[in-house]
Amino acid sequence: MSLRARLALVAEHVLPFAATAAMLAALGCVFLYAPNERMQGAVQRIFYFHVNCAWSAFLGFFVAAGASAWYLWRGGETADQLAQAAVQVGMLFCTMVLVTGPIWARPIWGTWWTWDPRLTMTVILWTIFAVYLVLRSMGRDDAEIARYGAVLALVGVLDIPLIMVSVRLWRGMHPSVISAPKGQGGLEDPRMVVTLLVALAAFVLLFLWLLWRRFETLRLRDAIRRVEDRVMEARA
Amino acid sequence: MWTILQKDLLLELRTREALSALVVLMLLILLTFTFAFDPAEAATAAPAVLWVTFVFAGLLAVQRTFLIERENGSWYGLLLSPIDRGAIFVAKMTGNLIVLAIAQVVLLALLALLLGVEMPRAPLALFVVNGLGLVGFSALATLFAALSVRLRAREMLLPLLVLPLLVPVVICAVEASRVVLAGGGAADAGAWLRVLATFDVIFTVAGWLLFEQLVQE
Amino acid sequence: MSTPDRLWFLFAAYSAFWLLLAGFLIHLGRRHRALDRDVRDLESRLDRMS
Repeated sequence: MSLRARLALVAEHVLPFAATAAMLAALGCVFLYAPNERMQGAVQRIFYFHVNCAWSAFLGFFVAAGASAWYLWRGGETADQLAQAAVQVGMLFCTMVLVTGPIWARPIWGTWWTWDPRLTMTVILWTIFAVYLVLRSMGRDDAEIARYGAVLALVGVLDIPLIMVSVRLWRGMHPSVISAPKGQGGLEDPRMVVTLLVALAAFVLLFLWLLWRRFETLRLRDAIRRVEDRVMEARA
Repeated sequence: MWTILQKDLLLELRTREALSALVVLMLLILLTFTFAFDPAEAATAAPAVLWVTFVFAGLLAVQRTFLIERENGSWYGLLLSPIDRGAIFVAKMTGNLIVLAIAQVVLLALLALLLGVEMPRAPLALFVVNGLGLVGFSALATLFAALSVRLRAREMLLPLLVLPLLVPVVICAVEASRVVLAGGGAADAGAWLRVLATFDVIFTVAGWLLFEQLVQE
Repeated sequence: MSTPDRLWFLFAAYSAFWLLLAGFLIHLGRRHRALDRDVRDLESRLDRMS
């Protein structure tokens, strides 16, 4: 069996159940297992969701860039479909980051928004890929637009480190410890670390599931259109 | 590659269309700013005004160079010739860079005049700082401007595409300019300049590699 | 409601929501597979015709 067929098999039969179970486990951990954080209280639990949305968004954009590079240099509509699906799923998670961030910030910082380096960077990233979506919507079957989109995705991802550095310099904040909730100390309780890891696994699986479903949608849409064209031709 | 560059430059020098339109546009935007700003705030706002004006005017100007070619049909001639596409990119980018550099000098002068911004004793530092920003801007703008060659009503797309990507350049160039205008030397703006230089290298190389993929036909 | 009770409630609520979403995705998966079969069927018929 080809790699493609094997992947499809796993994606259709294993992934849904693994993802469902993992997310249930994660929800259990987040609400029932993890302790309240000392200073922030129960609100801090958003963190497990918020951080993983961010990582999933990055994963999505990264996959999009890779697929775009493949599309540009090797061609083939599969790569383009994958890129599009990845951007769409990535944007979903990116939007969730921007929504859950303020929800978390309001009780903790007293304000809905700050020009915190990470938030700023997320907004810029969101904008770059929102433009990607706008661009792609302007030319569904246009190969040139598809190529431009691919370039945009690639260049966008290339830009990420630069954006990060320049925004951090601008805001004058030092990079905080990874996994530290907005720079307020690390994860003190080992239960929190466990929860984070379980949630991470759940979100990666969810990401893959959504990506696969979306990719199938795009693939089938193109396949149907091709069949339609052939039927039209056959009639003529 | 040199021939293309020569050709573009010669065209520019003879017609001076892009340059004059660019200068006038920048002047108008600057004037709008003067009405919007209290002159006392001008000094702090100057780098920001510089770059905002420059970005918008510059994007339009870069787009024009491609539009002219499209209208002439010479774009297709260029594609049919056996020149390496990457070389075309570098040529176009350099052409844009030179035009934009001239425009920026004019803009800086206008800035001094209209907003009463004092030029630092070492104007070279200011040019270096802004020049670095220019290179990155040219790279990105040239890369995406080719879009307007084919797509007609989509000329609004260029700012949409380029601006978010340009954020590091804007931040660093503005902050570095601010340092220089406040009297510091180029060394004081070191961190900003390093980021700018990195940006320039990455996106020039990326543009050179990617341009080929974009203008196939 | 005490905090532990609240947390249980949240867990239940989010789990319910998640199960609904997962169910929808599984349902979508089935629809996709059916569509895929139909498309392949049509394609082979078209191949045979020409």
